[in-house]
Amino acid sequence: MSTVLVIEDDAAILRGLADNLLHEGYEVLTATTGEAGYDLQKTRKPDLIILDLMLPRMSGLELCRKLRGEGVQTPVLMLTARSEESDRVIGLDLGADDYVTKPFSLRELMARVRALFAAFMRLPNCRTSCALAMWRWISGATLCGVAAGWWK
Amino acid sequence: MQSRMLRVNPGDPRRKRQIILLLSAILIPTAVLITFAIRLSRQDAELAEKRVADERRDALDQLRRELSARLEAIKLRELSRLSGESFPATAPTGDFPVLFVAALVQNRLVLPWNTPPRPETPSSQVAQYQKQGEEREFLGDDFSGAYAAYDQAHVAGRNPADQCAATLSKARVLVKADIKPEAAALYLSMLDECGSVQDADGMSFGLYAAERLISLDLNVKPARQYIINRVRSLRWLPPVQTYLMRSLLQDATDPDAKGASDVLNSEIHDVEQILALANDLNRLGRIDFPFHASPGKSVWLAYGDEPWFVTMTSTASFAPPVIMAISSRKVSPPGVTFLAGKTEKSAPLGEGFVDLEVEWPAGRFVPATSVPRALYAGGIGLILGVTFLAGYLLLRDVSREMEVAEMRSHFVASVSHELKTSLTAIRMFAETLAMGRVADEQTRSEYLQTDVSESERLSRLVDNVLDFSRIERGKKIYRMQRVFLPDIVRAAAKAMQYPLTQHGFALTVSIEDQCPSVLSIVADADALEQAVLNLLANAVKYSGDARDIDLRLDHSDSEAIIQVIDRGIGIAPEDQHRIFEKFYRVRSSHSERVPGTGLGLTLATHIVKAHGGSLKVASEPGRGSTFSIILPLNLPEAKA
Repeated sequence: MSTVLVIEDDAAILRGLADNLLHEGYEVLTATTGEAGYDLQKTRKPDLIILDLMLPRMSGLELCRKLRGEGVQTPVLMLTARSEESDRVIGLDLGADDYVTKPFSLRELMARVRALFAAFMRLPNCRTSCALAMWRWISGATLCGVAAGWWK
Repeated sequence: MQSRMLRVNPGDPRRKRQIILLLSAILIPTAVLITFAIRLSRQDAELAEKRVADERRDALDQLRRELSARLEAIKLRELSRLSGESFPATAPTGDFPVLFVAALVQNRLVLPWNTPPRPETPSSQVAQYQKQGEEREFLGDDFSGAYAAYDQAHVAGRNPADQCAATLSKARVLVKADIKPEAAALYLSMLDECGSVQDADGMSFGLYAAERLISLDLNVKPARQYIINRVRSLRWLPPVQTYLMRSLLQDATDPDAKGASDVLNSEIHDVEQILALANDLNRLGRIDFPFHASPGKSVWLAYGDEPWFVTMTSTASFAPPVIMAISSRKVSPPGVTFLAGKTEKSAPLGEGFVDLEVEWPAGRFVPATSVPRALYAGGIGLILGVTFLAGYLLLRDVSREMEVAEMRSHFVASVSHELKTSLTAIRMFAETLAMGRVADEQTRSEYLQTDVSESERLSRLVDNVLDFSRIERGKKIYRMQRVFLPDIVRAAAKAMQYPLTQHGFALTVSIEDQCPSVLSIVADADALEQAVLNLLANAVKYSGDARDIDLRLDHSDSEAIIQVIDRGIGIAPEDQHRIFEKFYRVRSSHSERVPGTGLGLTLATHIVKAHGGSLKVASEPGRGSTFSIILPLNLPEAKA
């Protein structure tokens, strides 16, 4: 069973998210502060993190940057009330895998959670996939070059 | 929920703008002002200096004209006085400024005391008796014989000089023979008879007698008196006489003798100066001697210390030239010092005067600026002060404005964030319910209760924002009705009950059971409830880890007090007066960030004031805060 860590400071939203994720069949961990979320990530190694950006003390962005800095590859879905493009770009640049703005549709959120899980199941290791893509590109280009030379 | 992303960095652009403002509003005008002031005062000083120079030149011109005219007048008067007399002649003593007029014969100055000519040589008979007397006196020590011989010489003498010489010898022999009274009588008689008789050296026999009387200590007093009289009555005596008289008066102490001594000293000074001039006649060549010049064009040479005005002139056309000297001391105007040589402070008198320099009294030409320097400094100081004050006020206002603008942008962000948070919760629970995911009744009711609570929070928020905008526009209207204050407090407590319990807070409401009817006041119930709710919401937000909140209603005869007490983080003293400003939010020291719009207290204050009351805060950081709404009872009707 997959584990989802939800880090959200608003009690009502946290409860709603937890109830719905449980209903979808995930194991759910909850935290209301960035520090608590960080500790849970370290101890329970969840498969997915749903992270609110605006947290007291340590913000969601800081937590995300910290986790990625430590090499944690767990997919992160960011929740935020802000919807400007620049905020989304910052979030994604910092290593978030997806970005959902409040207020969100519950169905959409669940769908994105599922999609993240599916994507990370397909590509268990990003590094190998990247190397593979690179190898394909280089070999393809070489073949094209050889073919073009032969044609002339 | 103010986050790091929301917090606008208060650094660079604002600081930069402030610096630009400071430069343009204070420093540049100040610099310009100071530059102007300095230039102005420098110009003023230059002008004053120029004025002084002009003044000095004018004074010099005037002095030259006056002096010239005066000297000319003196010269003409003297010349006309002399035209009948023969040269050389001395001027009368006293205050008359002409010192001497001396003829220039064969390029030599005829000294004023060169008269009379050498006495004629004594007759052979007199010389013989004289010689006989001297032999007896010096070789034979035969004093009576010598006396007789001198007496014969005296009788044989045909001129006063011979007779006086014989008398002097007779007296000398009497002294040697120690017949002093006789000798003294002879000397005394000589004072009268031989005063104007001179020997070949130009020495008066009278003075010889006086000298003997003084040195032999015989009749000192009449001898001195004789010298004093002589000093007073005669002028331009030959220098030998002057020197002798001075040395004879040296030991005298009475004032007359002192006065005579001073006269002698000055005369010796003059004598020496005349002698120097006589030896220095080529300097007179510097006077362009105007033989045929018209009167008034004389050239005056300044000569000596305490200079004389010396000029060359003549009593009539074709008459030999004479040198006339006039004492500068007698003609100089008060305060002005004439010098015959250049000093640091002197200025040449110029045209018509050779070597003459003038020294003005110190302080005669003080550069007086038209506007006193102190006035300048005061003016500049005042303007600077005003500029700085204005700049400071401007800067303060602008920075406050910018702060408000910044807070306003925070406010917009916070409001939208709060809205979205509540909306998210409401939508999520509604969707969950709609999807039929909730089976049990209790959860469903909880969801619904949460939705209601969030909606209430939302409407409170919207109310606050709308009220604030009404207040900003001055359009806020209170609907005043007679209401019972305890009801309002209870309603507020009830409205907050669910969210409070959800967050684990314990709200203690203390209201007397039997509230007197004085607590029935005229007020806008909704507004008052909103004020209390805002205070309660703040208490929740700033409670930190504490979970106890008190809500109290007390009253005295004249006023009711609603208190909201928390045990939370408290408010620092420096923030306590600012929390009532619009948008102002305390930047908490521990990075705990509390959601909010910064409007709650502003609105509460406005509402309470509209009811004629006041909102007070008492707080201690770390110990909690107490907000008190104080409302007057018996409030008059209608207040908007």
